[in-house]
Amino acid sequence: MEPPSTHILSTTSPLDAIDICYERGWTDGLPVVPPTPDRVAALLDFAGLDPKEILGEVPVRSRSLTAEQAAANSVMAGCLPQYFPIVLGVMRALFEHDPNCIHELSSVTNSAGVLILVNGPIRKQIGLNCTDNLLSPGNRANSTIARAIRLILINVFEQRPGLLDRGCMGSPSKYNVCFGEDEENSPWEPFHVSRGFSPDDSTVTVASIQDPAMVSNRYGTGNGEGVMNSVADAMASHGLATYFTRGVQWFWIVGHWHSEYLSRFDWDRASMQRYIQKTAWRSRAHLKRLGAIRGDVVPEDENDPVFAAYNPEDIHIIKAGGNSGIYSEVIMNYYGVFATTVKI
Amino acid sequence: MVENVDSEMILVDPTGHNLNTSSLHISPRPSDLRGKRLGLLDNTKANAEVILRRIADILDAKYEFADIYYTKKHSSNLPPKPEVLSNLHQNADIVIAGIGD
Repeated sequence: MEPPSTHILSTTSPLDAIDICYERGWTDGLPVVPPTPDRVAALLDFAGLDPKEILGEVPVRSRSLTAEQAAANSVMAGCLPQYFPIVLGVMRALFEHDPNCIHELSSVTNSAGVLILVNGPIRKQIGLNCTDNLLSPGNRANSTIARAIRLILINVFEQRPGLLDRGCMGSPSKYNVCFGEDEENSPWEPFHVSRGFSPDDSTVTVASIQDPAMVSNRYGTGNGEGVMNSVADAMASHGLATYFTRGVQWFWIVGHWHSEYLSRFDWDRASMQRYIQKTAWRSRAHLKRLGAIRGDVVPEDENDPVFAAYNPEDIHIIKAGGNSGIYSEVIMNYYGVFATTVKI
Repeated sequence: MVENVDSEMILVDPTGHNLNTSSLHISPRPSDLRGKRLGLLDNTKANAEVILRRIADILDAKYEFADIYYTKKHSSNLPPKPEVLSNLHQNADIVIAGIGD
């Protein structure tokens, strides 16, 4: 029997409806916008989707995602209709990568969040923050797109903390790591162009991540290598070094002044990737002594480098952030969902 | 689509539903472990094989298994690939799945 797609409430008060959403366990802890049929229809109409269309299935969970469910959760998150194509793009990227990865996002105890990086014209069309405070709360597009994904994971796939979300420490990244690249002020070609898309394409890149770590290098010396040494050091000292031996990827969100400084010395994306890859390592002996990787230290471990990234192209470089300070961010791309880019 | 009427408000259901409504059944439990073929399913965590092999040794001393078949998933976070499950079906009467770290 097909399940009912609507709930009839004995109230006309939106405030009561918010309370009812809480009572039914439909929220992420914050109040949601009640998913009324007219609001849900506005998102579906914008995307040209039939409410019953199946967007994907997660075999291990025996669950599917319908367009209507995606739209209802996006409404609850506070999305405007024009944000919905990005929400759909994120889910499509996850389904295309491996439908079971959607379950994996919650089954892992290391509390992986979902990074959502947007490139292309859609950033400006919807007012996505690419610069000042881009990882903070405060901008509707960034906050509500990321929240829509979380609400879909909670409500459609039951990824509730303590239930199927098995995160140990949890993560603020589960609220919001959605931002755009500051393409207009970047010395390098846009990230999506470096991955084979046209500058006129709008894309979304999705990855499972650990929490971003700030890198403050204000006094970098030489020809820009000091900045990259700081980034490499932040990578190599990551608390989940045990993953280095399984292969992980990285995002380096290059802050405004770091990118400006590096551009003075003509560093391009490929040469920075090569420099950081060969610089970001710790000896196997060091990581064993820390307990970061398993085993007893043997003499040859002292001179055995364990690289934070196997390959230069495993380091994704994006220019974004404000110009009020001299910072970057480094994010480990946990191996569950490596960076996957789709056209919106 | 239904419109709001009188004192009622309509909300669209944002929750997921199971695709397969047929109930799952637990395989019959063996009445005796003696002489059975034991399967071990390693979830890839660091000490999974250590604890599974130790348990197998202890049980084998008591029940004298016909065979002990060991296999491993490709990821601790994902279900076994079909060929891993198929091999377990072919090579084991009973299976111990465990987690180590």
